[in-house]
Amino acid sequence: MQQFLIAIALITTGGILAFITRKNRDVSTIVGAGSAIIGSLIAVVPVVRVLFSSVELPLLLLNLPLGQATLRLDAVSAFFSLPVLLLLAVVALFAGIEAAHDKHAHDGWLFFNFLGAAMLLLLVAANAVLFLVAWEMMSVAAFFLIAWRDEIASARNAAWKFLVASHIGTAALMLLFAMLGAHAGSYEFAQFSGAHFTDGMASVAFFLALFGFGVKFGLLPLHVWLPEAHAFADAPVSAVLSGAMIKMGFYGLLRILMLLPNISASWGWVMVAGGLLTGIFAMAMALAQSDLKKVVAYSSVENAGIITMAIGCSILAIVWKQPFIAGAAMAGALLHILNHAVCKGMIFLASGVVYHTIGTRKLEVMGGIARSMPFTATCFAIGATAIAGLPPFNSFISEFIIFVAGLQVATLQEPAALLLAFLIMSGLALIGGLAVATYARTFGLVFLGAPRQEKRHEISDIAPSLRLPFMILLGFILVLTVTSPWLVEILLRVAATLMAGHQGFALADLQGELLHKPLIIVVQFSVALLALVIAGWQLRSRFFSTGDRSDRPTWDCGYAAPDARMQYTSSSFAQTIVDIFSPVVRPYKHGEKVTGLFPQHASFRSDAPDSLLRYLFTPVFGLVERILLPLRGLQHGRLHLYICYVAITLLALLVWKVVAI
Amino acid sequence: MISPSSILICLVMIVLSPLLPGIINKTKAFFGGRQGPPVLQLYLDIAKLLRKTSVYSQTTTVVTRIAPFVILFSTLAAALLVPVAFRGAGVSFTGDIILLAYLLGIGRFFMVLAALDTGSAFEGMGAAREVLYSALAEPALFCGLLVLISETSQTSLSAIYEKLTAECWWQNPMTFLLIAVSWMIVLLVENARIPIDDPNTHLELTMIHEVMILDYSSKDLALIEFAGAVKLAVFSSLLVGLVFSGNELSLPLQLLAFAAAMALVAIVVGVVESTIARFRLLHVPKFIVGSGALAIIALILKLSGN
Repeated sequence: MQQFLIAIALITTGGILAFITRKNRDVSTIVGAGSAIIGSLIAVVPVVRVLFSSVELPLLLLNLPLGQATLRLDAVSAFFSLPVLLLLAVVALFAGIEAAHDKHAHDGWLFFNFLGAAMLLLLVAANAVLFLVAWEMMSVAAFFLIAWRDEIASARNAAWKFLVASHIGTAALMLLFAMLGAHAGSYEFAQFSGAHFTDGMASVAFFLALFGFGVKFGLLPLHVWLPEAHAFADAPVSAVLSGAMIKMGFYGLLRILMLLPNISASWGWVMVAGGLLTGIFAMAMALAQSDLKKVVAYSSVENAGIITMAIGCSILAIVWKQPFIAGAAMAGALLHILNHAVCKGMIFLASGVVYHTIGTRKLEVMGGIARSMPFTATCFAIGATAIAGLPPFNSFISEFIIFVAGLQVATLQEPAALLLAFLIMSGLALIGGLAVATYARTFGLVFLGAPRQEKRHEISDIAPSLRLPFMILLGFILVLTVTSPWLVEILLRVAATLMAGHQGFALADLQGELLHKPLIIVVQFSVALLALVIAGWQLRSRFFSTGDRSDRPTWDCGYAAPDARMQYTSSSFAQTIVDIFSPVVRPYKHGEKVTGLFPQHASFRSDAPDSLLRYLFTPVFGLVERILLPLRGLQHGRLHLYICYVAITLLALLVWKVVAI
Repeated sequence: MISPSSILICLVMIVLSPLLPGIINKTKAFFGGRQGPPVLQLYLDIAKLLRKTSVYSQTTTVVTRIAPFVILFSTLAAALLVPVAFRGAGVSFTGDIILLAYLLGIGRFFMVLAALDTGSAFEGMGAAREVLYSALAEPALFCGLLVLISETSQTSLSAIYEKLTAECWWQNPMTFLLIAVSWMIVLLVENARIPIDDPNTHLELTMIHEVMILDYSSKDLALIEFAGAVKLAVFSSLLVGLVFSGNELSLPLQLLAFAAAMALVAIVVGVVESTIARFRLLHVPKFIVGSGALAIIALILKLSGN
């Protein structure tokens, strides 16, 4: 436990020192990145110990000036530390090396390290006040990181949206903790679980938590800040925001669920339905986007939807007293959280490399860069295959576990269970199919085909030293895939900790061996597929390629002068799907109709800003502004009138006091 | 669970799978009053292609070279997971159908990428259609599966099919008929057959599957054609296992019955192709969603039956 706190202190101090030495870029980079990396390595030791040995480290009480703070590192905290520590270290490594090469690279070490430290503190906080303080630190640090390029108006705009969204969420959380605290008579989490909440109170608490934490992980319709914040932040920042910070929302939600033993089926249904809608909506939006990083950001929302669905399924299974399903769904959700962090870290870093190399995020003008950037293309391809939930990589394994939970639900002979199984299986299949479309479009139109941009000769792949962070993430993708049958036990231990308040959901009841066996076969198939494909391809290109030639243009059905502009673009690729979802996506379309036999000029443009932002939040916030606008008259800047306000207030208080007596 | 005898049967099925397109074409020729190509035509095509050398476009990258192997091996792996000859699958475990569907998914993903790799407008068009249609077809497949799981309380394909007897059909004839029709549509979609896609059309603008592999030649094309035949066999045997039951037959009879049933599926596909015209592309999504709707009706029937 002390080790964990030393790591937090080290990361924080490193950030402050990097800020003090910011005039000297090299020193500042070494201090900032070095402290984040070393801090993460130190913190990983107690985390691994807790996860593997199931010992709970003792509570630690810190006497602070304003009261006592309780810290605790249990299996849940330890598990959620994994994505944070991994991304903190890898992204610090990436940003550090990048800063050495490029003087425009991101160097906001103060806020980067603060963000990391705040997330770690949040995870060990066992006291509502400390939790909220860490939560706010995290949000404020993230705000400054998103607003880092504040010379760009849209970055400022995105940062404001994030700040507003995150404070609305925090308001709900304050209400939640105030309610729980008032009832339990203490702000210690340990006291909350002992207090007996009525069913009504528990439901209010759950929905406040779902709202407050849902803002962070992007539950529909609270996701609106997410695409823009991720698009306009620098790539290393987006990687940490998407891979780690979003997951803190899930951590908070699961913590609150742990504290409320009287769960109800309606919570599960709300989460399953909410997650399903989030996933489908996010994929439809992703397909309509023309900005590379917005596509990737919407994919984070989609994965949050899948995780929400799985947690909802687990809640329903607890209500229905089905330990295996509850454990499997929760284990799938947890593994998906970890898998998504690894893959999304890789994809955001690779997108950042693409953006820096060709200077645009517009999908329409990209294309064909795989030939000049083979390493980045390979990383993006593996990351994309993985995150689309396809075998042989890690995210398929976590989706498979959730599917197994869904299959088991279908064996229960209950109409409600069949409905749940239908939502999970068909929903996941549809979301998965759309994710395949999204990532085929993203990878295919950015990296493959003929280049659409003009100055292609300048493009070169990333420097060899920058490849190390990618190799580490790649290694994690493979390790997480291959070790998944054994990881299940750790996941189920975390799940059992989460369900400790319920009878009959101990680790032994979750029947991990029922997941272990299928997973072994899945992993065998995955490894065999990978090996056979590589072997077949190598054999073919080494021994069976005599006489092959690759100096001809693409066969374009007899057309003799194919042009890069004739290729299918990203919007034409997605058009049919977007049309199907157009009632919810509501894309803008601008263009002139092509008329006559020999049209001279034609242009077409389409875009899809978030429809919920446009049709829900903008009108609502506009209304609030209109209502509150008259109050602006009070704030006029005339000092004598302000003194008059003070006098009136004092007078009113005096009158009240007199009347009260 | 691994069953060596089923793996052996599965291998035979893989080797014989190019017969299925041959049977379909013979059926179509019969309806057209022609003699048609020989049943073994696909073998001859593959043999010819294997002797040729490849031409790759200048635009292509390693994706084009690696995709045929991803498509082939993922389809072969999927074939190991499908129950054959009423004796269960070569490899069966909880959730095997999920792996089966996603293995076919990775093959499709790479076929789409290879199409985009060429930078051809036509291939991009086919790719865009393929991803949409398969995203719509998969929920229908899983929805039908749910009914079967609920009926048999089993979670692996082999165990489900073992428990699925003629009596189940007699009890809920409508439910199973709806699933069978829904899965038949999924088969047509996934294998790019009429009325969704026409493998024999001459106009690239209207194709889906064929246009995506326009730029492939020689050995790569042979692998893709072979994988396509195996994929057809995988879906056919899924359908055969659903419609026919032969658990209690002796081994030789099972093999004969399975071969006959597979040929029957191919003939049905041939009849469908001969009697229905290809849909306009705009209507295809409605048709596929319709197959999902059939599966949902089956689910509702199952619910009300309880």
